Amino acid sequence: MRREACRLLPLLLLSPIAAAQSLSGPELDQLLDAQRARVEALTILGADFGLASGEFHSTGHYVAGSGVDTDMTVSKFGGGGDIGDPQALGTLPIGWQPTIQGSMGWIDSTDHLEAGVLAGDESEFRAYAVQFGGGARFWLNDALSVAPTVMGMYGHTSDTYDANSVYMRENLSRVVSLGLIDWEVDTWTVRPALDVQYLLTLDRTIITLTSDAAFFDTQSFSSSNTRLSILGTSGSWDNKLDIDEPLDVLFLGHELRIGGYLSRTDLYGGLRDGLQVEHINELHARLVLDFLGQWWKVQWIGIGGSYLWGTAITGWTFGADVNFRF
Amino acid sequence: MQVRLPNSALAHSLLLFATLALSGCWTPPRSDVQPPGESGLIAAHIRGESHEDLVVVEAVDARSRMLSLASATRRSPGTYRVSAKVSRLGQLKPGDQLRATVLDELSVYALRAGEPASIAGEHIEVDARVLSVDRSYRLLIVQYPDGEHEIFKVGLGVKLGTMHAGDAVVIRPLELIALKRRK
Repeated sequence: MRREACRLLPLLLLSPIAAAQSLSGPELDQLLDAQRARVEALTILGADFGLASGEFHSTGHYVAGSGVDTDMTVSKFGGGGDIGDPQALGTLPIGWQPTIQGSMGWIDSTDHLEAGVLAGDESEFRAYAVQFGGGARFWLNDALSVAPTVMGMYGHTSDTYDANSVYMRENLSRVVSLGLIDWEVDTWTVRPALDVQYLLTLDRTIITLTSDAAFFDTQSFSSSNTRLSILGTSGSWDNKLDIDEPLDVLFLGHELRIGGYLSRTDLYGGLRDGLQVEHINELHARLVLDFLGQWWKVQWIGIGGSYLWGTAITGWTFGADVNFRF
Repeated sequence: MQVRLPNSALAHSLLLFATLALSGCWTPPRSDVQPPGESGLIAAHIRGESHEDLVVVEAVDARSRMLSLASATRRSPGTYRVSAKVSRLGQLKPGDQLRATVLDELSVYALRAGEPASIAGEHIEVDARVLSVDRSYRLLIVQYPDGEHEIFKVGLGVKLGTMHAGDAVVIRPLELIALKRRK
């Protein structure tokens, strides 16, 4: 239903006949569903530490040829980690250690309407969110571990519509009152997740296989328009292969290491419908200096970059790559 | 709206997980185990850096650049030569709390259980035992008799692959190479 509604939104807005009619009933519900999915998706994408940040661009992905381009900037700071060394879980042959996760992020997504009666208009979505939580990692043997975690997330999402077209300037107040544009919503999200990790060491090379499934239950608790209340579920499933390779070369007293990962994240529910993206692939490379055992809690410091691609979306990110080991 | 994973993908994941889970059990690292191999010297003159998160100054001799420190992990108190790279040594006084980076010289031996700690008739004063080895990040983790453990970052050429849990370690402090006052 939401998926269909997302596709309807630009069609209706682009169609002077449909837009001229008074929207009500199922049509309006579908449009609001689309907005709800968008809020849910932007809040999660904006802060979740498991999803990629970067500069994204999508061309006409709502409806092919609709002339809606989207530019999206996702900035995040956060991560997760296990604390201390594994301890025995009672008398069981299982080790465990606490794990904490946290992230804060900001997202700015602009739809450029470049065709039809709305040509020249822009709709800017902004979201910021923070999340924090934790759990425990259980070691079933020296290589295999599972980490169930629970996180809570607060998000604030807003839409600002820049009406430049003659048509929208004439109908702006009506569309605003319907809750389709120019709104603000506060949400909270509960995020249970399960991370499965397998470590493989070949000589000095560390290969890490990770599978991380997360579920998001999002609800709004404050909205500028009573029509726009959020109650949705989403999911993500990330599968990653990471390689960490020492280079046997010292630079400034620290060993150079090269590495990277290839991952695929499948999106479900509101996250998929709100972004109109079914999966995102990421290819990441990094060049870092090894500080483990030399600087307190720092594993490495260096630079890294990613290229991301998926269903009707591409993106990239580049910046400092810092990893801690607690 | 319900979130559903593809059934086939889920089934494959569960199968892989079950296979991996059955490949042995987790055991905590222990240093009181018999290491493999014959008795003898494994490696000597290994230079290793370690970090002491909290040391307390017991005595300072700025002229000879010697510092006595009490530490939670090390045999305390220890007296160390201070590297020329460390400045403002004269400002330290007994009771000051510091973070310290220590350069040590390590020797690692394989010793048979129940036999005297000696190699070729020469007695060995064992300070600690190897707890675990991280070859990728060049970390040698040792455990002292009181149960405390310490992590040494060793040089590129050190063959950590020849060292095992339970090997005996003799530690000779060389110098303090960095000091930072704790706030």
